[in-house]
Amino acid sequence: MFKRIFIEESVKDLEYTQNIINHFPKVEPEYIDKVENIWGRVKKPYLQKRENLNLFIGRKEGQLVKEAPNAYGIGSEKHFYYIHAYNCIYECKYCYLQGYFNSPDIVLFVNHDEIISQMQSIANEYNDCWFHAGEYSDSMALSHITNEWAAYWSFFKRNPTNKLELRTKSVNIKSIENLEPLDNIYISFTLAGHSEGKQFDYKCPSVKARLNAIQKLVDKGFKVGIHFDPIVYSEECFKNYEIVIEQLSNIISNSDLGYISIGVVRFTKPVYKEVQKNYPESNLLAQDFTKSFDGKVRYNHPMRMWILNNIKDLCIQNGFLKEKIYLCMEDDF
Amino acid sequence: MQLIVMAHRGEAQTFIKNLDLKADKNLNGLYTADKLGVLITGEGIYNVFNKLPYVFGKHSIDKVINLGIAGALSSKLNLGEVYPIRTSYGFNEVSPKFHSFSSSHTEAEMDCITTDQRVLNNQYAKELNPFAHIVDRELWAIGNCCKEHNISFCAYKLISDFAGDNTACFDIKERAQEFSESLFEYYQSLNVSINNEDTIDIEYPLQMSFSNKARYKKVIQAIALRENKSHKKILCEIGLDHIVSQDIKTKNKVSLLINRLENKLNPLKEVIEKTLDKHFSSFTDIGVKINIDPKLEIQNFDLSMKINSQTNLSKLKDAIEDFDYSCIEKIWNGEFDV
Repeated sequence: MFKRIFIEESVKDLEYTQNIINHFPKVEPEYIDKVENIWGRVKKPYLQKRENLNLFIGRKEGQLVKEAPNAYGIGSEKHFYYIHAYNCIYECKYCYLQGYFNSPDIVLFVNHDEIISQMQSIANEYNDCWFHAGEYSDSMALSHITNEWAAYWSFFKRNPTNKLELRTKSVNIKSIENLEPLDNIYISFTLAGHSEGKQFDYKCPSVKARLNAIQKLVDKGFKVGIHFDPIVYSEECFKNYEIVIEQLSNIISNSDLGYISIGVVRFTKPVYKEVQKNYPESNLLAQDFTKSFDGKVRYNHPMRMWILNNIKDLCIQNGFLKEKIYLCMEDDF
Repeated sequence: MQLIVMAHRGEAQTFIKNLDLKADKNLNGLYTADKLGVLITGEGIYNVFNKLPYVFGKHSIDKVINLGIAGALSSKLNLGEVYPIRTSYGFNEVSPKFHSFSSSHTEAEMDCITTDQRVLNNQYAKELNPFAHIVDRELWAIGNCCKEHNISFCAYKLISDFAGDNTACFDIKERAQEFSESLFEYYQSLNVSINNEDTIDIEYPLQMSFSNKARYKKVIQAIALRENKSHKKILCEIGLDHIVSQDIKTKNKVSLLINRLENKLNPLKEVIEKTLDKHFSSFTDIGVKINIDPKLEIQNFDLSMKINSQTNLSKLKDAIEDFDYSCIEKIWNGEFDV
């Protein structure tokens, strides 16, 4: 999976680090002073992640937990996200990471104790706030090698009024399966129509496999969240989403469901340019996008609202409560 | 013209001898034939910046091929072997340069970093090693110039030595002939695969302005991609012949053509526009011009009307009073029938 593994001297003896490198016995670790001395110092083409992906293991410094934009997620509580990794092993064609960092190489931060300590300070101030994992990386995709979830579970057990959302498209649920399901931890899966998943979520588990993972977790008593985001419009998309929404309604009830969020595809200009460069044959480029009021590339306003309303109606028609559904509006993008 | 760029005369000697090239009178180091040129830049990025843009300005260059010797940073590379380069990175005295330039060789697996001084010790080589497998003195500048001039490039590096403490002992002059022959042999084996990629030129069916050309290109390419059809077929389907035969100004024909294409790409936009037209008909029927945001992003609209009588004013007043703004809000919120 990784061509080279670079490890910061300061974290080389941590158990988390040892755990990770034990999974790659054939790659000789190389020790460095600081991740940022090498990672992102030069513009490494995004698609080199296919045949030349490196791994960096380091210590995240500075602000480890950041406040999320207003109205991020459901409810009026404060929302924060913490950064445990940069970049992703998947290759969703619309992914904003392709224009976000200067390198597709994966960085795993292993100073979880310090992250948790900052989360505790925030939880002391906002006892009902949300924490989100997976802003810059899939939360679960490498969790069998990073092994950090038990520590976060303990934190949320100690802080039962605070909530955690783990965002993923992965079906790699091994690392949490044996943890105790907590009412304040939501594993949230991004879903799409089966054919949309196949078309745009390149190198990700299929939508069917994601539905199976949701079922397993629900059966074990875990709370689940769903993101239908980003939706790419086609004449068939509502029909395709309806199938998945119906399948979802058969495996999860409103009581196990935290929320459903719905959003329409959008890009910043640099990300759209990367999509043009990386996926010139993709249907993502056969859309009637416009440059929006904020400079982002997206469908026109009436159209995106129409798409959101249609998917919301499909969710309601399939028994999901209106109160559990929120639309990702422009302010949140 | 295809341009071979090399740093040293020694490396280029076999090329000049065998390719039937003539020395250019105006630029020392440039040799040209009908469809081929060889440029000897001299060592280092500044020499490249001095000469290469001049050649780009004077000659029509389709593709640049950089061939030359380089040092290995990875012990896994073999001395004497030629490696195609994937991406070119740069390094100045103390830190890497941010910009990188990718070659058009899609199967290359090695990266090259260009330094502005020779790598004469192991410490320096170690510093460069995380970024690339190979080190040279020119490629980053070649990539930079090619990017500026929108010319594709590929690069092939013959490994002459392992960069580091031993580089100083290495004398290129002694082995120049041998390296040049190896590079030429490699170049000859490449010739089939380095033909220029086909570029698809857009044909515009009507004379149109620069901005309309951009709109036309964007929309027809998107339809062709989605429907996997030729431009000709798409134009036939939307009735180009009928548009062309109409007795209207070319400007209006272009506008009609682009509108039809845009509606084909996104039929929903036409639905939204027709719904808006219906709601605005109480204004347009009395001669009011409506200006809405063509991108359908801003909810505001402008009304304008030439007033030349009290009757006009009264009609406008009545139309404004009767207008139900919530209809517009509904459309903006996605509530319309499809």
